[in-house]
Amino acid sequence: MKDKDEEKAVLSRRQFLKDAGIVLGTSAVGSAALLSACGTNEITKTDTVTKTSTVTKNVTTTVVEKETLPLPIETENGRLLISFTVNGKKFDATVEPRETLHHLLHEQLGFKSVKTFCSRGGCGSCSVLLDGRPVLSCMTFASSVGGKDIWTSDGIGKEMPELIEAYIDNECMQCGYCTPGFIVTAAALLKRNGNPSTDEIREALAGNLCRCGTYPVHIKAVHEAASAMGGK
Amino acid sequence: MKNFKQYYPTTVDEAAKYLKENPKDTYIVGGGTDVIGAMKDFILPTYPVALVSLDKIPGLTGIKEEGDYLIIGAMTKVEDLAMSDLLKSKYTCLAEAASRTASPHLRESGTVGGNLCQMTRCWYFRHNNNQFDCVRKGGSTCYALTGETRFHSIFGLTKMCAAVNPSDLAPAMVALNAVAVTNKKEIPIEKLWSFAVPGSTTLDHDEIITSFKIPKFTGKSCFYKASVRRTIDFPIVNGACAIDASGNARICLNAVAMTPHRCTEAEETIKGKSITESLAAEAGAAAVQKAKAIPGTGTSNEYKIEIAKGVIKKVILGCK
Ligand SMILES: Cc1cc2nc3c(=O)[nH]c(=O)nc-3n(C[C@H](O)[C@H](O)[C@H](O)COP(=O)(O)OP(=O)(O)OC[C@H]3O[C@@H](n4cnc5c(N)ncnc54)[C@H](O)[C@@H]3O)c2cc1C
Repeated sequence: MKDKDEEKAVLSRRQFLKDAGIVLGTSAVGSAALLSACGTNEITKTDTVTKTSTVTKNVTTTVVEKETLPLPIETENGRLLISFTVNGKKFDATVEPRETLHHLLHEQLGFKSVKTFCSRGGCGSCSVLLDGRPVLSCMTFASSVGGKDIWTSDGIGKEMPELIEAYIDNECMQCGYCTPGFIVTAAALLKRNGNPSTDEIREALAGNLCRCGTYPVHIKAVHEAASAMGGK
Repeated sequence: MKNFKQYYPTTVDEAAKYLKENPKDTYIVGGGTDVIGAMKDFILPTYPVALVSLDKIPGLTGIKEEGDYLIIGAMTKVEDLAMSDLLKSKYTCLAEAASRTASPHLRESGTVGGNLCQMTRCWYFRHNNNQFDCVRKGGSTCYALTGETRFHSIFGLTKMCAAVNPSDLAPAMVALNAVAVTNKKEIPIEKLWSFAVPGSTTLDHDEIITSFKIPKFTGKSCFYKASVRRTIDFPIVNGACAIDASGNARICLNAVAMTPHRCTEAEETIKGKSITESLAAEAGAAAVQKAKAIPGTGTSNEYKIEIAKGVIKKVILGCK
């Protein structure tokens, strides 16, 4: 699969150069608490938008108008066209049926914070919020997310700066590879439960593994974030 | 993963139609947490030509009491069961089983239907690229019988396959006497699985579970799972006991055989008696009387018999 991924990346880059300038208009949709793309992610996102727009370009405009329909639309070569939002920004992409959500986010759209480690649903490093639920993007088919609202740790970081600060203050990362997954899961918990107990935090984070063994500080950090956010 | 076709039907009939069109190489996807792993490891008997996702079919989710039954949609997420106040208060063992299934993330995408239909975790069956042509895959040898059997069957050695059913929800569903409602018929939950090989369930290829029906329950119930780690790990042995208002008990163990194992001996032992620690222990001993360890060549699974005894004792005491 690696070769294919590389090939795809090269193709996309070429396509990117070829189509530079044709940036599909994206609009912010979703809840009021959305963020405008800013800072270091800008480059990735522009790149992304262009990449996906080149694929959708061949599809007639009527298809784009149907974007609210959550059913994927079959395009050439059995690829499926889907529309969804990531961190409040709207995206169109075509995916192969075999593509996982992790692959779509990390490889196609460039959200490098979505890691993969075990790739079998056992470690939590690929966690994202899907319509508010913390799920594993390595165990979710990309084609199923049409019409859904996805948040990665980059977006969450901007929406919940208190959480990131608590993570930094408590030095929650050693190698840092698992951290984005923890952030996503902790955010899901805090959104449902503004003032979780230690046991509740432990239980919520139990699906995220850290080989460096940073577990105790995560619990402290989530407590701190919760009180910094005022039990919102 | 190799490529395949992905269908997103919007009705159960449409889904069944796609399954019927490709009688062999089409698979149903609920949450996908089991299927995707199986596909990544290339362990399905035939690589899917197409997958039929139930994700976009409306009406397959929800938990509600209706008439004489509790109805749970087959596509309801396992986490929603764990969080349901209705289940926590009245169908306790099912809520407890859900809260101990896999990890929080897997429960958020894993469905009830998928949980009950999941494939076994036997490491010979699950070995990458179908390297072991085992009985459950249509071969003639059960490699576990002469191999590593730490987590294998303690009931059903005579039945040729030493794998176990790994589902956490299954024993609770059996204890609560659930019925699986499909697009074709209603199946009493214990008939959903069979030792018949290969395959994990007795469903037809184009049969889709739409909901589970549980007779309204007013008694007490309890679930317990013994596992290496509290989260993510599959059960070593799990079990559930439900004692209804008139004192009738249904007790079931899982991860001890290829199908959930109803413990009628334990049920008989406690029938009509008030529950005490020693009675619960007696029931545990009765339940494992016919259990048999597999010697294997590595670590034996003999310890599972002791654990099964303990699980029975715990779930009975939990209904006190
Ligand atoms: C790391 C890891 C740990 C796990 N730990 C546990 C555990 O501790 N306990 C446990 O019980 N499980 C565990 N699981 C197994 C499983 O993923 C979940 O239990 C989950 O509930 C399966 O549901 P799903 O919807 O994702 O299944 P899917 O992968 O979608 O489907 C599983 C099977 O059921 C069939 N199916 C799905 N829905 C239907 C339907 N409506 N009608 C007919 N057939 C259907 C599919 O064709 C497939 O064969 C674990 C999985 C992983 C990856």
